[in-house]
Amino acid sequence: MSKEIKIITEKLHFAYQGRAVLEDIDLTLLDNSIIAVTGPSGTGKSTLLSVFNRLWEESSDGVFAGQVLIRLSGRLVDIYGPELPVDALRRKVGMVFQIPNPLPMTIFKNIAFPLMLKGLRTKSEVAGMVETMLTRVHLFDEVKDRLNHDARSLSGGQQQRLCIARALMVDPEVLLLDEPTSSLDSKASEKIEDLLVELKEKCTLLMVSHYQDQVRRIADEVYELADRQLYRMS
Amino acid sequence: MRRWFERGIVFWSWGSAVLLLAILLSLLSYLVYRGGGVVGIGLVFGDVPPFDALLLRRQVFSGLFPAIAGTFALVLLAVGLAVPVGLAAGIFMAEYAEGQIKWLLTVLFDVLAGLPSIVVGLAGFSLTLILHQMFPGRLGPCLLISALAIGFLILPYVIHSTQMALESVPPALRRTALALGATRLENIRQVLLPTRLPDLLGGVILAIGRAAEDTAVIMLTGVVASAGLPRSLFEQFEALPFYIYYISSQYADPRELQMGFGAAILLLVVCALLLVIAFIIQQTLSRRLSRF
Repeated sequence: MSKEIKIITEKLHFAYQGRAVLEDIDLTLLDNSIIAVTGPSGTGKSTLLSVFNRLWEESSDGVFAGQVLIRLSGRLVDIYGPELPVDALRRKVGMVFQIPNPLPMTIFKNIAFPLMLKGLRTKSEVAGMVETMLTRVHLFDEVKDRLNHDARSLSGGQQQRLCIARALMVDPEVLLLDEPTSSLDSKASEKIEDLLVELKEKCTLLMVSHYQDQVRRIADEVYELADRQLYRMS
Repeated sequence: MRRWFERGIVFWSWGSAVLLLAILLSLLSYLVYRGGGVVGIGLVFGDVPPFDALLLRRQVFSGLFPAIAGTFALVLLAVGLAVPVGLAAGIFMAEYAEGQIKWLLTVLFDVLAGLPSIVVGLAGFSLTLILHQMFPGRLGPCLLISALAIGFLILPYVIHSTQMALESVPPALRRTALALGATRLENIRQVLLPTRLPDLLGGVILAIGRAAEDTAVIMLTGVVASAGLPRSLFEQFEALPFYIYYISSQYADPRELQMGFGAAILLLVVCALLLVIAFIIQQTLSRRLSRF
């Protein structure tokens, strides 16, 4: 079965504090794949990810130009156009950060947080969904007896799986991952990798990674960002 | 040389902390020494049975109960008026204000924080005169105008502590909820404010202390030496700081001065009780703000 086009960028240009970081990037990415972006530190890989959920807009001094289209609910949408509010975009394009960032609340509340933003209010409404999602990221058995504990008490690997579960809670169609295993040991990294391979059946994963071995193991497409340009490696 | 310098700095820091603690303890000990002897039921309720006074069956004329009640009412009203406004202004400064507007407002709030309380008192007094001319015989110096003036005085503390609390949220935490699809307002309400509640409480505690001790403002706007319990917002009232000022500047015998020291101890107790109330409110808010 041929894959659909999920993301298109045209003449993508981004400058930060007057310095060009990305220039004239034309890109076409397919659905249900893991796309890895590699490259030296400081070349703008994280900035590239933040273009796809417009998170760069939360800190000033960035200048964006070009067009980014993402297929959402079956239709290619200009994510910088007026028809898609930014909060709705971020529910469809989830993000997992380099350093696990659980909110300062319990494990249960962390997972339930995106549902609360969607308007679900009572614990009974979300309890089943929380359990399902924790099971999906292979975390439920490890935390089922301490759902009311502070999420920051979990180990690094558990925290990162919690953050992935939280991002998946609202069924994103694209998941951006900014070096999701860089702060984890090899055993925890392996679990995350297995999880990402499972997840590509449901969504498109765009991942920044420093680890060539990891990229070779799980990525369907690999790009290198260097000199403000994106080069396809495989 | 560097090691000696470092040791010197550590010694200086420890020394300063110990000195401050010693001054505080000396002050409290001196207060207890001078006023502890008169602190008791008699100082608060005079010759009226406490139960009768608390149930408002009999008025207290020779005790400090009306001044204690007046202080509570004044502080709660002033903090109640200043906190919602200060919180909103602090959120605006931290999350929305940018560029020249932010700079201008920062200067304005700094000037406001440095305003001598007697100037605020005079402004309150002028407001009283204007209201008195507009509603002759109905509005004069009263509890509400004192609370408004005190609220205005403590507003910069609340604004500043709110702004500082929100601006100190780490960037990673700030963008977590945004990346999950939260709006800016949802991020403030669901994540930033609950995370920083203890710091916000710090600002309120500072404001409570400032509201409870100020005498210059209330002298010009509504406090008197003898008014009984405050029965409405539009009546004059008694307050502990004014009593302390009044009695210590015009005492007729050593016993009266001792009562002034006793009143100072009671003022500290009132402040401590208000802080406990602030802490309970913080705990309740903390639970309510983070649902589930």
